[in-house]
Amino acid sequence: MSALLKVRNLRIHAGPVEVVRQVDLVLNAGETLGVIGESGSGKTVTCLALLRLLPDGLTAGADAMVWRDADLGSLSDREFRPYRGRQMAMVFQDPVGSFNPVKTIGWHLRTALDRRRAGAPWRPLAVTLLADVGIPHPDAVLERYPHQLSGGMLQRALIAMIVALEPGLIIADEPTTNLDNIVEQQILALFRDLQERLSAAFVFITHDIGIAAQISDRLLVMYAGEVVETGPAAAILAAPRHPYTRGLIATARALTARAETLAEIPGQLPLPGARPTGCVFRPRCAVARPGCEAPQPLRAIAPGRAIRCLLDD
Amino acid sequence: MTEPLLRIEDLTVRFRDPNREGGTLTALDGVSLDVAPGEILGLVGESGSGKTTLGKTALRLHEPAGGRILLRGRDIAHLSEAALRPHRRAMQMVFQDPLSSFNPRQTIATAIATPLLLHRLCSKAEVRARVLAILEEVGLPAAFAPRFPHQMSGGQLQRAAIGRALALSPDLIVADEAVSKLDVSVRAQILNLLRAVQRRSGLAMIFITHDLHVARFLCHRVAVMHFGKLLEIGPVEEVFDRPRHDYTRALIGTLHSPAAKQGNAP
Repeated sequence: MSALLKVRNLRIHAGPVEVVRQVDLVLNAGETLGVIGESGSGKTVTCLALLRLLPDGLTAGADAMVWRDADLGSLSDREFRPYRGRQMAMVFQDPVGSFNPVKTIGWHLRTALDRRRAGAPWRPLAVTLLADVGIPHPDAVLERYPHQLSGGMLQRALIAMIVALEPGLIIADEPTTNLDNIVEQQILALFRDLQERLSAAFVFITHDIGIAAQISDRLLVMYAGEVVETGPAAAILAAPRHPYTRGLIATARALTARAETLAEIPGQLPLPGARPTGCVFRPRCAVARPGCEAPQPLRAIAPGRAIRCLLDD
Repeated sequence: MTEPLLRIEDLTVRFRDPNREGGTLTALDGVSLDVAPGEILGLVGESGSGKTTLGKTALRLHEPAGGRILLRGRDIAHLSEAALRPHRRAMQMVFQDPLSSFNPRQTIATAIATPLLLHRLCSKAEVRARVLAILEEVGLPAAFAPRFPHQMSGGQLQRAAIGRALALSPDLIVADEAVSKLDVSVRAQILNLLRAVQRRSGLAMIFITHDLHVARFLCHRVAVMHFGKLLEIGPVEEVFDRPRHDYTRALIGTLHSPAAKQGNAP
């Protein structure tokens, strides 16, 4: 497997506050990385930083950021522009924001297709793309405006645009959170299909362990701006090692199993400016012990697997 | 069956259609159901199915175009605002976004105390002790009483919102996606709290959710809504194990969802 994107020691600052720290990423072609974490864990800003889309006030830095053979870190914003969208595309939770409200769906698809169609008429291509993502009456939909489509249909249209762009990396940030269960499953199936066809690297951000299990090859678990556990999805889901990952998975399982009382993770996520020293999960951790007050490195525990915790069992 | 706390008969609600001059949208189309005292009834269905409209109309936050809303046998479907007031105490609501359901310029103590005083449920002298007791009941330390909403996390605020609803000892709480906005780890805390509170006080609850796992965990019975109609209603186990309607079957099917990737544990 070849690495498409390699990132070493990515960090994001909001003024003096370190919002995200020490994130290493390797994204391989044809592989899906599930990024799990609660709101405030830094999963979205990490991905925005990869595309240089951070909102004002946040700055990112990394020791290395390499896309195929290109050193992205050395590029100016202008030089980076051809990579965004064409090479690396992002799907957001709310598809409405990804469309120009005064342009038709057809205009969007034509724009996405323009780079690749090499003079071929765009319309038949666009119709095929829409039909492929399960949009009925694609010919008519080309004339519609974004507000005339439902959330699920718009998310499909956005996926069709991404197929047109054929990017090497697709980042999807909670793309099904606003959708109903039935539509959610359809969209997930589309993503799986899309990834197989493009053999792109795929990053799927979610807070839902069940969804992550359905789609991920590898998992990255984030908590309070740090990676706390990473490794093959099957291995982590079968035997999570970090206490936070264990808590998340236990909660999800208890809900499915209809336990009498749900396993809770007591307390709450610390604010970025008020993180505890040492292990950031320590105040909520049931198995914290002497030694946890020291900063924890992300340490390898098995091939491809690492945790930011000193516990050995 | 015991006398229902709430009986909804052939309820129809229409709204003005914003896109068509003089047009109407039928949000609820002839829905009938009962809520027994002390039961948690789940309302599930996709967005736009009428779950929220049903919950709000049951509390008479909307006036129905047709049908009856019987609260302990008394029809409140068309009561005036003044005539409704004595019934308001008995019916409380918890919303999805706790931040927007509190006045940003009031402390949590004031937010909980105001309805107590308005409904003359306790004297001014007792109110502080009552507020602290309520906070304790929902798992908030007394230190939160003087805080403002923006000084609290989503989970803490949702606890306070539940406390405010409980303060009036209601017979019925309508909770509209009350855990949907919360983080996974905090959601479990609030679900456990709701279950404990309901058992302790024996109140009835209409729990609106699009999350089937949550409905299955918390609810005794579940009603499936689709396009303003009630498709089916029954004990949670029965609806989940033996759904009768095709739509319910499709919805439930998403639970035992497509094989996890490469044998990942579900």
